[in-house]
Amino acid sequence: MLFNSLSYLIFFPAIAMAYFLIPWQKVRNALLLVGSYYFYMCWDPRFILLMLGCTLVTYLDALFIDICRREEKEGVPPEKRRTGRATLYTTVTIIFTLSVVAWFKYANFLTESTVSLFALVGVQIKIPKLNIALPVGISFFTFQSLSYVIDVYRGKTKAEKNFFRYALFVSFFPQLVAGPIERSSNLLVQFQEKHRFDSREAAKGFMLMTWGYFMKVVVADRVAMLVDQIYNYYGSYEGVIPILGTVLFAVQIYCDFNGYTTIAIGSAQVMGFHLMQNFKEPYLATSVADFWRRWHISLTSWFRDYIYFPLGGSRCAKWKRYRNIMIVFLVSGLWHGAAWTYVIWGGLNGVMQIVGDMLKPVREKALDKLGVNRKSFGHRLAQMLLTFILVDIAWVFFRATDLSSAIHIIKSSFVWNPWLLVDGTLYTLGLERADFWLMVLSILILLFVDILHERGVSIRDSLLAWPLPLRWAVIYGALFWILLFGVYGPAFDAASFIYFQF
Amino acid sequence: MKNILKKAGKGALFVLVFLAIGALLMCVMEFKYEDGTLPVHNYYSLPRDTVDVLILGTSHAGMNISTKTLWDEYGIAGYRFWGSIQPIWNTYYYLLEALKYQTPKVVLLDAYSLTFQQEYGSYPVQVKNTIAMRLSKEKVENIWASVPEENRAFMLFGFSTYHNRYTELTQEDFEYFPWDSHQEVQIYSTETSDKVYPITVLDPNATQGEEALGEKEEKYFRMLLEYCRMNGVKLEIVAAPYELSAAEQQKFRRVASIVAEYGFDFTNFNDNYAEIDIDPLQDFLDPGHFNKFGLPKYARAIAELLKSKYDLPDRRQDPGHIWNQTSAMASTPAYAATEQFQGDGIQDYSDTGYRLYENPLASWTLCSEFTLPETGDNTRVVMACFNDVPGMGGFRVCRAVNGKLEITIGATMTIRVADPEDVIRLVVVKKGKAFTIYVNGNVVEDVKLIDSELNAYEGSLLLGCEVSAEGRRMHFGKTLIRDLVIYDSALGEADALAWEPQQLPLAEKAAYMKEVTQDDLILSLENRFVGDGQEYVDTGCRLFDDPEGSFTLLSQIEPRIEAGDTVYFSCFSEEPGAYRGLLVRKIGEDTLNVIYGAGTGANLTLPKDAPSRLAVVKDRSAYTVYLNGEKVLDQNASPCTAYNGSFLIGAQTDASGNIFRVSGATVYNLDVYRGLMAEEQILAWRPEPLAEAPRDPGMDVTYTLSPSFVGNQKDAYVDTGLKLYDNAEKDWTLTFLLDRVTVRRGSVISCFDETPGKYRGLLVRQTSDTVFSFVLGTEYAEVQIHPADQAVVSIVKEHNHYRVYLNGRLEAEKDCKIASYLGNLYIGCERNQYGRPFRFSDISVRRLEAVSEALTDETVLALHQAWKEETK
Repeated sequence: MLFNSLSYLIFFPAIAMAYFLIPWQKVRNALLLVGSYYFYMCWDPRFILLMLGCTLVTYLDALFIDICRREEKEGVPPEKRRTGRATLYTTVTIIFTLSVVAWFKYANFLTESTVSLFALVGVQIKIPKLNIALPVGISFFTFQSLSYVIDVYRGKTKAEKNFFRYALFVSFFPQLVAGPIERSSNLLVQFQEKHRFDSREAAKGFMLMTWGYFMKVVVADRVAMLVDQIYNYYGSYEGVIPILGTVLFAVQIYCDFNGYTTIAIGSAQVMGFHLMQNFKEPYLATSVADFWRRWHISLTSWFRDYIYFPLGGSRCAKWKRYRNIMIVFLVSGLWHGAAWTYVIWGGLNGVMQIVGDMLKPVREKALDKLGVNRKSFGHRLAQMLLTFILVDIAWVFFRATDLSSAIHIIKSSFVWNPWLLVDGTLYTLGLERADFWLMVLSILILLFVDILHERGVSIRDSLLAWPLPLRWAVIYGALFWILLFGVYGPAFDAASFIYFQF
Repeated sequence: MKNILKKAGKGALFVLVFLAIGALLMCVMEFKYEDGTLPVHNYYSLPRDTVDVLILGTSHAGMNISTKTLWDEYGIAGYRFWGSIQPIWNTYYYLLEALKYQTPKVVLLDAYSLTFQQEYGSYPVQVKNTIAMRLSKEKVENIWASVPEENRAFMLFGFSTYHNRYTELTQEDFEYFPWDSHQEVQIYSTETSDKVYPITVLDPNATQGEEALGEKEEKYFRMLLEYCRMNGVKLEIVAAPYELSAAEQQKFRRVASIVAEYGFDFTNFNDNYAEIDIDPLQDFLDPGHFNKFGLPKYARAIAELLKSKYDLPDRRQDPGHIWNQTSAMASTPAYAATEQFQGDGIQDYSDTGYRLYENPLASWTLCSEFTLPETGDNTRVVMACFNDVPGMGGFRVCRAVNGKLEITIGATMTIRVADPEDVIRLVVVKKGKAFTIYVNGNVVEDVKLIDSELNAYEGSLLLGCEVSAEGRRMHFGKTLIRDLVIYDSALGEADALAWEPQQLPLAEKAAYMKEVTQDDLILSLENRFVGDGQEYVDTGCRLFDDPEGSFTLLSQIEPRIEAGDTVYFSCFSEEPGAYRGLLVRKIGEDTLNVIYGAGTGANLTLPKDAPSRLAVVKDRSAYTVYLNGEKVLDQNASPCTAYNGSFLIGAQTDASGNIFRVSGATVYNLDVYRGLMAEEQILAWRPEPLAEAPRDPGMDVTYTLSPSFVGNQKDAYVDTGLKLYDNAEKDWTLTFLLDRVTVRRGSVISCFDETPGKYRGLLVRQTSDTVFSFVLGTEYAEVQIHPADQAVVSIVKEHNHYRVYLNGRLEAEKDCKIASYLGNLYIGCERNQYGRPFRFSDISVRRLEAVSEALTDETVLALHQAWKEETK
């Protein structure tokens, strides 16, 4: 059940209304749990067992850890404690959970890579391709449950005794299949609270959902038509066209992914839940490191807390720090997809950060000599543009189907043909003139809103302070804009959210 | 509690307003197909129980059964409730839906869809045959039967199927709000094409037996039959004639068997071509549909069938019946001519100022009586409000080249009346998209156009001509429009036929192309221009400073080019990428190249031996060219921007504005008039060639060298000051005596233009110890001589003929005409293109004399003899 499907537009209001009409918290949670499982089963009912299995294993492991912690407190002699076993079982749980991900997501990638490796040394081996379907959102709910287990093990959070509540934490439908990857300290505790219907919160959640739909169905899916044309037929284009395709892919993936999480956060907010912010105007970042502090925040912070810090973080020798960065980004690349292009994409981002860090003294010196005011708009703008270009170059590997096509696209971008921007070629790339300019207008709206957010303006709060007719007019305008200009319905192939595959 | 109620009320209001806006938006965005959707949409607007015959099925029902004929000839109120390629399950639900609002006396079903075998129709078919139904149980079931599961929800929420129509909205889309009534009673045929497609008729006995129907088709067909039987609905099933296959023939047999089971009748007209007078070679426009000839025939057959079996009242007798609606005649015409218009077919026209297509969906009635122009070699227009841009169109009445009366009413819809009478009484009734055209009291066309046929046009109705896309009046018709009245409403048939013209006075002429006078003359050549590759005429006349301007250029040119480049005249910018103006030049042996407007070019064949008369008429960006009294080009060129260069004769300017391609062409006459000269006046222009301007005879060339000249190959030379070619036609004789003590090489004498590309004049050089070379004009000659001999050389120029003598003997003769050259005669060197002496020689010229006449053979020989004697 996609957020941009009619089913969700029926499912969500029904669940939300029932949620508030039920007076008992336990029944409400039960409703949410059943609803979430139904939501997940809409894709493939078989995989509900997988999610249930992961939930059960991590739930039991956390309980076991909790028992060990209690023994500690109760003064059980060390030789009689089961702490050592807690570590063992936690390790086993982590390995089990990661194995599940590895099997479903990376099995074929590993076999293909092995075959290729052998082929490189001249040995031809045959490993049959496994017919494995990728469960939707597997990377999200497994990482969320892993974070819970590790947090319990580290003593940062208490183990949840109520299995159903924990199961709801793992499967809460708004963020189940594409994040944000929540922490138990934020989300789990909210299932213990009773949420009264708050019209202001509901209105804000509704507006957030509207904005999410705008990003997804108006911007991302419209941009996708042009990007797909250019990337699917990359051999036919050169110069400004692949550059345009790559720039627009940056817009597409941002609007696609942020659109999803915004709908998710908005849906949760309508029901009184607050999910963590997942994007913070990433393309206004002034460095690659800054970009990653703003992009997919829930995943980046997951890697930071559970990989980067345990490896030593940045409080160690420089080379170790760089090693840690590379490990995190290579893993991040692999998390995004079982293909070498994703690994290269992750690696590139890591390299850019390291090079940026290494060149920082030189850069600072040069800026001092040139007398550049670091707080000036021009300097910030230059930083943003440079960061965008670097991130965008890396996106080529993310979007391209394979390494050779990515390299071809980059190479072909160095042809001088700017006239293609004005000679009508742009209207032959999958979008007709009206749709093309609608896309441009939508991107400008997006940019405007992001700039307002960056400046700390809360558009939703401002809107709620407006007189009712004006407020409604804006909301109606937005809704009908989406309904009219959104890319949906049988005339279009409804595009799935890109991040579902991760 | 109060607070909660307030919030709930606010929420409900928000939803209600949202739904209201959404509903209005849906009215705009929803599909408005002539098949499938509009028949359903408009059906809901009909008063209850007014449809007597409900016609169901595919296009074989919708496009083949003329409800107009049923009405006009039988008074049957029939309604086509159909959709293209409509599967039978859609027809079933359409029937259920239709019977909720009407109680037809009989339901007529075309069985063509029963030959299909499919699970679902194509996506457009699914949309067209479900989406227009009002939300009801039948609509939901129709969608479930017609649409694959994944799209059912979208189809139910129809907006998702048509929300992306925002790029194709037209005015019509904004005319379907709930308050807009669309009581379309279908008394217009949807298709009245006169296209003919001969079809092959299958012998009824070609096949035997039955072929099973598709499973789903049979299931819904039986459901339909069962429903009719159970509910007492009178059902008549037919199959319209078409190019059917053997398998389809067998399926129709199966249909007959099934129908018989339920006690209904099935008539397969494919077996009855002769009985219903359908001509398979003439009555079809494609393999499945009738043209304008077949439509009424089939409708009559249907009407006879129905009349014979059912009690169908003649609704024409019921003035209150919706089918009987007619528009009341407007009391005051929106436009009424106050005088007759008489066009001369050349230039006269009248602008009524009335814009017929300002709103392409507006209703109006045009009544007129006029005489038809005679058939000509071009279309002769009586009146037109016509956008000449391809695909736009409008209204135009004209006489075609083939003599037919042609009435155009849309982008491509043209009604042709063969052998028309000389006087035409025309009434055109336009009711929205529907047109009825009466010619001399007879209906010649009754048609409803599709959206793309009707386009808005800001131009007004012109009498006597039409206007090109660029605004040029053209196709003038010699007509007398006795009366013209336009009503801004659609008149009923009785009113239309009752219209009588008024007796009006004749109008004064408003000529477009007119007889130009000397006052309009802006440029005239006073003397014949004879180009010599050097001379040209800058008239100073800027013909293209206003690209919207008009002029008529008349010229008489000599086809033979004597020297130099080939430009006759030009007012042309060579700016790369912005070529514009007018350039007339000769290319090739007999090709006249005319470049006009924004660089459009045309090549015309120029007669080789006689002077040619050329006329170029510029009307904004349209150009007409006449060559020797024949119109050889009439074309709308791309509009060009202004060009401020002046009109040159015998040359043109390059991109930088410098003169180049100075020509050797001859222009006998050239007149340029402001405005457009009438064609008759152009054709009558046959001037005598102008005389050449008296030429400068040039300087006298009598000269004697003194003392002798001995060159040093460094800087010694003699500038005689003689100009041998200041008049390239003048005669002279040059005689010189060379000492040939040693072998000398280099220029002996020269009066030669070294400008690249313009080499010409006289040049005598010694190229080896035994060879003298001569350039005579531009011709080359060599003369042999013994190394030890003295040389007495004479060059005699008589007009354009050269004779070269050496030591008393005629050695060479050449003919050559060149352009004049103003350089001097040098001895012992040449003069480079910058005017400085170069190529110094060590030649020794003992004597040199020039005289301003061409000496005879005898005189030259005598002179040589005398000089030799003297030298001894």
